[in-house]
Amino acid sequence: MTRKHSNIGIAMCAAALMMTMTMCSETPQNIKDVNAEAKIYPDYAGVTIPSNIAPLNFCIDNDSVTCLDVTIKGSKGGEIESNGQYTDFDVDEWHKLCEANKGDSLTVSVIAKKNDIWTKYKDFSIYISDDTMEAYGLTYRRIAPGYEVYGHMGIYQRNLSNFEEESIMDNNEVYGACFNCHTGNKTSNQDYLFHVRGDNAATIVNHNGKTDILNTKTDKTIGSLVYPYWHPDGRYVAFSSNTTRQSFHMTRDTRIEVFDNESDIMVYDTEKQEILFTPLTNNTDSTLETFPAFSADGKDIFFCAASSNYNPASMKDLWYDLCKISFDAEKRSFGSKVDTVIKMSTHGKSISHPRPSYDGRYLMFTVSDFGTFPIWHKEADLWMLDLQTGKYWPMDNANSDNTDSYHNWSIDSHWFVFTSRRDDGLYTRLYIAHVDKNGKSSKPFLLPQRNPKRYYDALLDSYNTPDFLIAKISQNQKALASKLLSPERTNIEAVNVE
Amino acid sequence: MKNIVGKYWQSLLTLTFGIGVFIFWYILYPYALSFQEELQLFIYDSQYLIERLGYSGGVSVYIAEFLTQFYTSLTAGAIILAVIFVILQQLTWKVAKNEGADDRHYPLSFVPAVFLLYSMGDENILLGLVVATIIALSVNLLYTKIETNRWKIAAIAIGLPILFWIASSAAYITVGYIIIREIRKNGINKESILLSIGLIIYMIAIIIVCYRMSPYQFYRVASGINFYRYRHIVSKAEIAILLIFTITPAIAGFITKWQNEKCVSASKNNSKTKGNNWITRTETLEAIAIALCCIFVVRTGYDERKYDIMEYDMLLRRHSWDKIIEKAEKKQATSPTEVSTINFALAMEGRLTDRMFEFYQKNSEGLMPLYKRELTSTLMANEIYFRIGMINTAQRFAFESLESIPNHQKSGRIMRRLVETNMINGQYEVAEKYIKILKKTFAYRRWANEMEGYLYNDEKIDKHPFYGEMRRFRVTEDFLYSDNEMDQMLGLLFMHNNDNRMALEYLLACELLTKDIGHFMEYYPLTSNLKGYPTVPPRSFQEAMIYAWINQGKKIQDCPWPVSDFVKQNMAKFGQIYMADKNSQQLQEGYFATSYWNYLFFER
Repeated sequence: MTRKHSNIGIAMCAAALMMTMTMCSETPQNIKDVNAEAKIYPDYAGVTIPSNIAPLNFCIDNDSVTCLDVTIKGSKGGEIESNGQYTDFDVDEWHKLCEANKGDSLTVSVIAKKNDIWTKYKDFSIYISDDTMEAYGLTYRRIAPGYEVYGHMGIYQRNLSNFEEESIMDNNEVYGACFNCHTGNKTSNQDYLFHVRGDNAATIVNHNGKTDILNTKTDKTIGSLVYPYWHPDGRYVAFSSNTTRQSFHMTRDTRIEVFDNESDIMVYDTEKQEILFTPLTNNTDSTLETFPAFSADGKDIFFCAASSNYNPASMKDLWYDLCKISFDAEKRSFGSKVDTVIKMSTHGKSISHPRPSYDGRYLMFTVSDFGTFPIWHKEADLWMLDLQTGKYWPMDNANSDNTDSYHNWSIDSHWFVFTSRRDDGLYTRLYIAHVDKNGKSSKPFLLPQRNPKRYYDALLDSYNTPDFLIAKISQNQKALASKLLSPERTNIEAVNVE
Repeated sequence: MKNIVGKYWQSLLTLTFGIGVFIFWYILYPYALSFQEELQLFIYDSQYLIERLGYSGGVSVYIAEFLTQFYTSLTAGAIILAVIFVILQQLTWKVAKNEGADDRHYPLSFVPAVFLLYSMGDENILLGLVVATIIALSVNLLYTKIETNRWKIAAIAIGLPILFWIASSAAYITVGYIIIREIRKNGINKESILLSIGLIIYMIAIIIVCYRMSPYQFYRVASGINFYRYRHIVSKAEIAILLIFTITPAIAGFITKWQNEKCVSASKNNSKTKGNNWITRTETLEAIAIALCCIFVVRTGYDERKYDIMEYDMLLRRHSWDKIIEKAEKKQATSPTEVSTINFALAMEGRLTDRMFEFYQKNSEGLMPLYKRELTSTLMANEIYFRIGMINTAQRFAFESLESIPNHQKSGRIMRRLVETNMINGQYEVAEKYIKILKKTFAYRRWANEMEGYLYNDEKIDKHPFYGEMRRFRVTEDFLYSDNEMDQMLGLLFMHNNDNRMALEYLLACELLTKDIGHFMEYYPLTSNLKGYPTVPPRSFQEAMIYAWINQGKKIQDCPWPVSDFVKQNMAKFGQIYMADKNSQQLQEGYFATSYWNYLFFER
């Protein structure tokens, strides 16, 4: 039987304590009507949500507000209420209301008590999309936004219909380990991989019910495998291999600059346990290639490429373009040329994280002023490329004044999740937004929590590399930890398939 | 008087022990308290409690962390520990009494507490283990109150899982105690063997269940989560502590029984006096052995080198510059962490360039320590970078030290620094996040409330005597930090703000330490930009200048720079001795021993 990694002890204690805790519950009286919008946290006013999302609980972003009385009415009927310091909607009632109002909107009425005076604010709307989000939840990494050292961290899965979070792998199980780049095949809970760095380094590949623990260093590649992306058929995984360095800025707005001394892209064959490469994208002295992503049909690999002729002083001129090379899954071979899809360097900007939608229509990517690590670039924004027309544009509705990056699509290609530093400028949080048929984004909403203010205020972790998850992952952490702690690794070979 | 001592000797002994423990922590090792406090952050918040209640031993850890927060007052910390050690001794004695120990063996009850004191020289043994031990010993006492076997079995069945959840591995003390007690009472028979085996199997089953419920490795669950700071290590001292608290009461009981039997046998042989003498001799030996143990604790349990750094850390945290210098004067420090702290203290006292060569110097790392993946040195170095105006670097070092805390705790001291760096950098949202957390603490609440008033108020920060100055000191034009170009970074800092005296002094000191006289002479004229900088250069600068002059093949007396005649004469003398005999002892003595020339020629 597979063991969950939720801490049952914590859950039991939390439940016991919750039962003893009392929430404020008051009936509004002598209500003063103001023609102003309530400043709520998170800002859920005007967002578009899927019907299966967890309740969008919120509070007034003001410590002097002691009680909230909120009513939500559906345009097609139904009503729910919440009364307390923050809204705490019943999960089932919320889903019933959302399901009943799919394709329409909810009207939220907020009455707040501040200094013993009840104030009614202007109502706001929440739109419920017709497009269901085909996902059980999300996977992501949580780690403090540090520099080189990390303390407690892990990869987690979160049920998007409620507030349950469980660890997939946590470094309490493997002390000192760093887990990263968890990537599922088209949001799969069966075929997925992640890396372990540190003393027990390995790449874990779960595929066809089998778990491989790999040593991905070979004598023909520059180092271990890094950024992954699964081929839609599930047999191959495109990877980059990067020799990464980081430097530290001395001024306040920026902290870290991460850059590659070398980087290549290649494809890992999970069946033959071989790395396939072509000289066009491997050991190329003059070019840096990174962030590979298979197209929806698996026939192309998109990636970012830049000239390697730079040094830390000229880093601000390091601009990555979006390129692609064809790949033949049957013949296990690459195409004979590299095409440039977007030459962003001509705009003095840099592209990273290309992510094609699973329906093959769009490709979302991050644009920053320079470099290959937009997470520490305040100006980093999400952009969209229409793969049919070749047009591309910034996703203004989704972007903020701070870093917006590391996005992934839901399997239905209607929703995307991304990380953003918009809340406080440092701790990345997860936002989800809807994409319409024209490739336009809705206003994104912050990942819901039971008590978001309290939760996010206390959370000293950033969210990294989020992705959707089609169903819950059952990972026997303790068994995997034992394997990781043993020195056994499967070595893989690299093959030139020019 | 003799009667009073005779009547209350046990209480007096305990009182003396308590006072001794207080003195031990307050006078001898106060910095150990400071160190423990800065590596945790007790938050008055239900979530914080829930997290700790959620793993075996968490209750003990919670109580221990609650107590440790008061170590910000060294007096309070020492009192807390004194009381804890007295409680441990008293509980040990009460358990021993239940095992039939005679009053004459009272000194034996100090053995486990003294051993614990010795073991706590390993700074990674956490108070959680001590609290858990107190709980387990208390449970041992409760167990003795149960009389029927049926109730005993029921108590074990219900109580042991609860005890393990509360006190984790300290529950082994209780398990061991029950086994020993039952065997002592009933002898080694089928019943007691079955009970022992059953108890051990039950204990293992409880550990396995707890292991399956928690996200930790088995050995960690079995040995106590957060009883030792490094989660991947099971400390031998931890095991020894549990063992000694388990067996000492039994030993006391056993010795008493054995002595009584000997006494009876001696009486039978009409040698009562002989028997009593023998007992008195044993008690005296016990007392002497324990007194020797105490001396052993003080002399060997605490690694001098490690605790020296802890002392510097505490003095640095408290800005006790004069005490840092005083300590360095008494004992030469050689590690980069210590040397950089001493140099920093000298700089804060305005004596760096005058006195730095009175102390051991190695290279520029003794000024600006390089980043190491190590907690204490990084934490201490952040103070230097912060004060000199390299705010982002200070922030990086602070953040890295926060993440380096081995048991993933947070730190009030570090979080406070992160509030300051973010506040100075104008990153108010992040500062506010940390302030909200600090407001939920005992020791940092007042400070956090005060800092809250500065949030989103540039004007108020600019006017703050310290934060305002730091804001003016930090560079506004971006460049990348480089370990190899420390002098250039210091130069940029000073050029950005000519009031940053420390940056200029560190720049010039850096050139001296790297023996780059050329750059030193190039940068020295910058001192004229510094308002109020003395026209007569400090000693080390004069020594460097005169050396630079004669190194050009010019005569000492023609030196155009402001070098005193005294320094010139000494330069001439140094040169003569050096030319005659490079290895002359005279060059290592008196004025020369603390001169820059000594460093220049002899430090490799």
